[in-house]
Amino acid sequence: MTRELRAIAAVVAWATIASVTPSARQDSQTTFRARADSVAVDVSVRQRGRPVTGLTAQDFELLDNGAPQQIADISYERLPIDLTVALDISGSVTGDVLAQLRRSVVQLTGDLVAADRLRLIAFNTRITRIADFAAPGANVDSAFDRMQPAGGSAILDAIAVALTAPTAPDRRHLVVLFSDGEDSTSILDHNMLLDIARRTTPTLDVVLASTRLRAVLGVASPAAVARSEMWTQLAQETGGIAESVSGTDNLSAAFRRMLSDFRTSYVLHFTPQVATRSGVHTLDVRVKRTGVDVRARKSYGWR
Amino acid sequence: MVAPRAQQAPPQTFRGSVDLVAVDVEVIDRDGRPVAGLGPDKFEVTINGRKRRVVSADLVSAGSASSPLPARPGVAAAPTAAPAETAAPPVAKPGRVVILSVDCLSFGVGAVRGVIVAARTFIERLPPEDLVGLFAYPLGPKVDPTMDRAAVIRALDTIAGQRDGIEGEFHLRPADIVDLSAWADNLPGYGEDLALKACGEDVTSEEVQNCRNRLRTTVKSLEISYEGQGNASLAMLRTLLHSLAAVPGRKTMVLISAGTVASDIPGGRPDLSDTGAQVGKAAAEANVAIYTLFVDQGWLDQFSAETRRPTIGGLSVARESAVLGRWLEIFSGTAGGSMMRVAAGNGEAAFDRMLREMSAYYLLGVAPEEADRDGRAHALKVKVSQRDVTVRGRAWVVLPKRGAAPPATAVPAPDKTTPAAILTAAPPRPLPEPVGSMAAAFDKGDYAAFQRALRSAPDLAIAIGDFRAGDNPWPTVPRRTAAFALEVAMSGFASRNGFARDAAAKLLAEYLPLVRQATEAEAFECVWYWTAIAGLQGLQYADTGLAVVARARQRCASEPRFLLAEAVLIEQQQSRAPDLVQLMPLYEKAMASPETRTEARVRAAWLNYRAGKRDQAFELLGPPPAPGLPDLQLAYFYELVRGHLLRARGDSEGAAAAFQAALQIWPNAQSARVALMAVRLGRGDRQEAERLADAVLAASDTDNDPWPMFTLGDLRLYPAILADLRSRSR
Repeated sequence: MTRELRAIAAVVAWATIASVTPSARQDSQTTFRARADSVAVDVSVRQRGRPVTGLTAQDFELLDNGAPQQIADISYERLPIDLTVALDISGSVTGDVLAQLRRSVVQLTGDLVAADRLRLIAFNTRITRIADFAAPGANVDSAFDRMQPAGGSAILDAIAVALTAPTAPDRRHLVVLFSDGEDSTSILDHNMLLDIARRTTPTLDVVLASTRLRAVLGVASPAAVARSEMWTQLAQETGGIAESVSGTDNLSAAFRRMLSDFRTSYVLHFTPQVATRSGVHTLDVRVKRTGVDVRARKSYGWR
Repeated sequence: MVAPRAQQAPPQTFRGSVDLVAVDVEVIDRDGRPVAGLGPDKFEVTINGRKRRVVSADLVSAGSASSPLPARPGVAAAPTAAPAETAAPPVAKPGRVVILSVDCLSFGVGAVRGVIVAARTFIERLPPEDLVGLFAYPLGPKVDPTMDRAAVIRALDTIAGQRDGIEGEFHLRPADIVDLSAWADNLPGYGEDLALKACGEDVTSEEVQNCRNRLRTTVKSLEISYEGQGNASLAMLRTLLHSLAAVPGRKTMVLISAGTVASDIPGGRPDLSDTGAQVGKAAAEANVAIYTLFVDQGWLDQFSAETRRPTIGGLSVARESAVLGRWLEIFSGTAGGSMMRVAAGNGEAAFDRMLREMSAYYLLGVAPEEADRDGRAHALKVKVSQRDVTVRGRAWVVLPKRGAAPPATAVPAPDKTTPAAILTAAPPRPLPEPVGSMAAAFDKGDYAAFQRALRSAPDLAIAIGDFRAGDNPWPTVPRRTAAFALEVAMSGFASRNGFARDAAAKLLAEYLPLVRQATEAEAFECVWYWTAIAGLQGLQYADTGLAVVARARQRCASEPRFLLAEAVLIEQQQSRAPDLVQLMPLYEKAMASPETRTEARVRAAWLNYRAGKRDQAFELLGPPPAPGLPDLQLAYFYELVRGHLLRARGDSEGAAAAFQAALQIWPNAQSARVALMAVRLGRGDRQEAERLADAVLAASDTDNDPWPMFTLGDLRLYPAILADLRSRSR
């Protein structure tokens, strides 16, 4: 299965939009006034790997807890992006990998536009904010000087924190994780993290470093397959994707592709018309066209 | 302070028109009788494969070659070989040095008695001018070479076997261990039949899989134990041989051992082939003639009422014998010596044969080439042009460079009246750097300098190797050596250098038998095990840790902490699918003891929670520990686990309260904040969840989280345990 065939990213930004006041840099095409009870969903629509452009609200069908919803607004490549990169710097990360991560993140900042921001989180057993949200011009390169790979890794906890940490409500939020996927010290388990992913807004993309076995033989151990499936399920829950990179050569390309895919997705706004608003809602987004791949988050949490 | 000791004694030389090298060899017939009447023309001597001229060949008798050996009571004296053709008359020689060496680790407590009785007779029958020494190891009497037979015999009578029977639930025989080790290492074609027999044939069932995991763990633990036993023997024998190397002339060592388990499968484990060859070479270089008495108790063990157990393997006495005797065979062979297997009786016949073989030897005068005189070890081979004889002699020779000063001998040649202190008081040779500096700092109690030296070692693998190959820096303070070895090993385990980790594993395994006290384990021994276990838990070396735990539980049976330690290590090993059937009995036993009750409850509860048994988990956790629990990390673990159990039961408020209690015990702890964050988010309190997430990200470098320590067992207590060990080693 080629990466291009994958549908990409989605985001929900629910009721906190109450406090939304469009930023000064926000695109002037904005026509939708966010309301306290509105929900935003990112929807990736691809055909043969390429983004499908020019769609209107009439092209989408959106179900909230199974009930059709009225799409109040649609936007494309308009809202600024908050990008959180969460890097596993446990003992399994060698100096070569860290150097490659550094180059990849620096290259990634080149793809951010002026209104975007980058936050850098590093984790092993400890979760640390290396660099807080800052404009792309900020020097993230030097932040890597503080990273000392060592110890185990609390991947699940780190992702939970990255998904929950506050972001500006008028921005889209993408979290990109790089890890070998082998958690050793998290207090949360997979189901708890899944629940957090459903209740928070960011899209999660996962880059898994392939095991040596897989890199050499092209096969993965059963445990690695299970881990990979777990991460795929988690990413898909948020409308994101999980992919493995063999070696570090593809790392930069994977990061950049994920950002690009996220940028070229639609944002649908709707005000839920359901019997009960509280709790976790299921979402189902469809496009009234054949031959397209659609990816959006599968649920959202109403506060 | 250690004093320099003599280098290896050079071979004797005759002064004549050319310097001749004295080479002593035994030439015996099929019955072990010395063959007399051989002239120099009958010998062919090669150094490094090149022939050298044999100028003279003198038959030297022990005492008087013409007199028969002293007879064993009730047995006719062995006749001495009549000279077929007299090339030179036998020459009387001053007494020899004969060391009786007993590998106490290889014998069960009472199993050594029979062979000791035979050894007494052997000593009594040696010519009176011979100096006899005793070296029982690792714990046991050591007597310097002396003519005082009564003193040696008194010491001999105090020897007791020190083998620890670490059988485990499967009652594995030596050959089973070897085959299953190959199975555990996925060598094709070995051990699967035994595994099926031990655990059942339905390999798809969880019960059988768990049993196979336990079998694998047991085998790994036994591998480490037996390799440790072999390496400990190696270290002790090497020390003895270095001591004997300083004594001029040919010496004789009689090694009495019941063998050790060593793989006879290429690439298999326990792997001791290298060690046997190393000591054998050391013996050859020290000019020590080796007689090995392999007391093969395999047959007895299979059928004696005391040791009989249902075993999983079939009966193959020959294979058992091969596995147990392999190390000794390699050692004896490399040394150019002889191994005699005693399967029945107490070995009297073997001792008889030794006495016959030792009763006379040839002293050859060999003319070396100039190129041989380079101060290096050269392979030496002696052949005799006569059929049906066996030649035994040293396999290596070192000729000093011409003009080089002969090495001073710190140990004088033993005289007839005063025992030379070669076994009991020989000063250790200095250790090479950097391990010498490490030892010096450790000796002074400057542990910071010791740790600095460890960290700055250019190659820790080499440093560990040097320590293992060198002399014990504190021969009179074995506790200090054991503590030092443990800290060096731990540093090796923590190294990124794979060779250092391998060397550390060997060092630790070697000291497992060496740290053992003679009888009951004392506090030092138990603290030593605990330090090792805590470190290995922290570094997650579960296989090695379980080998230490097996010994610790056996030696320090009243210490409940080792039950917990075993459970933690098994959990580390089975991290993805812990086996409650194996683990819960350990936790339940640990709950019975007040000092481990709370931790056992917390760990058992967490285990059951992870296995989806939430009600059992809650029951197991029990009431909170009494306030003021000194182990704050344990108090924290309790609250954290309680919070999870409450959340799983749907009591999110109770869970939040527990997580907040955890934060009271350990402010700013990341894990409690994350857990509380998840609960708050689940209750829709997004603002508080965001605040907690932000607090995690903004935590300072000094905010440590106890939770990662949970899976690492007693690592949290390591500094305190280590300090205790150090103070007990002074």
